[in-house]
Order: sequence, then C-alpha cells, then structure tokens
Amino acid sequence: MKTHSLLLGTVVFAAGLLGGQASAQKVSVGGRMPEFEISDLAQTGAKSVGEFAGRAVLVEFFAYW
Amino acid sequence: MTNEGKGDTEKWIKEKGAQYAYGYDRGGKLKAKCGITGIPHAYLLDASGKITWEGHPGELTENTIKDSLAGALKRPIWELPKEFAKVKAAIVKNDLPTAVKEAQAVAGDTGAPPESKAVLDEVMGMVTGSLNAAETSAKTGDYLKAQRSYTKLVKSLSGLPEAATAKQALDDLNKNPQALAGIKAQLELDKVLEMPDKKASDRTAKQEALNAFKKKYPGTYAYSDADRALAALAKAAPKK
Repeated sequence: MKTHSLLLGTVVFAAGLLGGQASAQKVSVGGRMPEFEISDLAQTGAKSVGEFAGRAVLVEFFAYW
Repeated sequence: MTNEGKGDTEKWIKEKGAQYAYGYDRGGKLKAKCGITGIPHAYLLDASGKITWEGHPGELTENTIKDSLAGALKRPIWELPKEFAKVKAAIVKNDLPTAVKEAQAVAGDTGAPPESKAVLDEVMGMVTGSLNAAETSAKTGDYLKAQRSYTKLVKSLSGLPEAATAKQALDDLNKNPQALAGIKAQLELDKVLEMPDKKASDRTAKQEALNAFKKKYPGTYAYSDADRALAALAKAAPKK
C-alpha cells in the first residue's frame, strides 16, 4: 500500500497553520494542524504549504493500492 | 507518508485525472503527529487555519465547505504581484489589519500595478467575508457560532473600523434575550453530545437525554441539532 499526503486544490490552505505552538494544541476540530512541510508539492504554484495562507484548505491523507 | 517512488504516484494521479495539489509526507511524520490510524482521513481548515471539520473525505458536505470558505482569499498569495510582498507576509502571519493596511498602501501608491485595486478588494473581502459569515450565523439562529465568530473578529480585526462593527454586533447579540436563550440551549446540547455512546446502555441514556432536551427547548436552533444527533445515534446502533 502506498500512502500520501494531499492538498485538494479547490479548497486551499490557511494562515497560522505553521504557528509553531502546535505541540500544545489538539489536532481536532477547533484546533490547528501541527507544523509540517510536504515534499515535492505538485500541481500547484505554491512552493511550500505556508503559501496556502489565507485560503481554506482540505488536507487529505490518502492511500492507493 | 509514502515509501514508494514518485513515479508510481505520478502515474496514479495521471490515471485518475486528479487536479488537486499533492505531495509526500516523508516517513509519515505528519500522519504520526496527527495520530491518524485510518486512511483516508482529511482535515478541513478555514482561512485562519482553524480545523473546522475532520473525518472521512467522502462524508464532507458542501455546506461544511461553504462555511469554511468564509473570509478566504479568492486567489492564492503566490499569484499576487510582487509589490504585495508585505501583504503576503501579513496574511501568512494571519494578521489581517496589517494585510489591509499594506494593500491600501500599495493601491494608493503612484505607479501601483493595474490590478492593485482588485487585490485590495480581495484582501478587504477576507474581512467582510468573515463579518458576513458571523451575521449569517446570527440570522439563521446559530447564536453560539455568531457569538464566537464576533468575539474572534473583535480581536483579529483590531485597528480596523470593522472591529467596531464586530464589537457592536457582539454587544447587540449579548443583549438579545432570544440569542441568549439560544446560546444557553446550544451549550447544554454540547454537554449532552459529549455523553459516551459506544455501549448500548450509553446510547439509550444519550437518546433519553436528547429527547428530554428537545422537550425543554422546542423551536430553538439546537432542537434541530438534537434531532440530527438522534438520527445519527439510531444509525450507529447495530442492526438487530
């Protein structure tokens, strides 16, 4: 099984996402995602996940077989 | 979080015709940090970076997406002209007042790029979009959400005239007996919804509490939420 992280392009990313205080915050509704980077971002003009700031974003973990 | 080569993934994306941005969570670091055990799993974030929904992507509804788009930029920051570098930096910091002021400065500059006014409008749209969403929550009777949104906006828009608009709306809401009654009901329902429901006996107790809630708060916004919770409980119960 191959698993990947994925950002849906139709909905996008958000500011404060890389806030650095993530360890103290729960990763569930009302909280924030931990600081992270995704390598080899493709099909987007963004060079890093931080560039999705100000947009709504769907972060999806997916797998394919 | 792949341990496979890029080639396979690129082939898969092409075969599926997927249009979305994608990348690799090397070593599954993010997956581990999030404590995700089942795949697929998704998080929806609003324009401020707050997680507004999580779950199986197939269960994500259009309304949830629509709610989360409130105050979001129409175009991504990497598409903004280079003159807006300070605006971009402010947006990354989730500092809307600075983003607005910097966008106003660029737009007011002689020799500003032709699309400056459009960019300023988009940045202002982040402010008005958030305010409008809070107003819509109040209008539809979701007073708790409206109260929370206005409280957040008073702080996040500090320094902009719109902060006073949010403050006024919050004060009005906190003086409105119907809103206060609605919020009381919503907070009470939140407690009922936190009750466990894994075991059959727990589900029965939760169902009773939800029915008692409905009797106590007819005609409130929370009443229909209680109805939905009851339906979800019935669905979750194992078939006999």
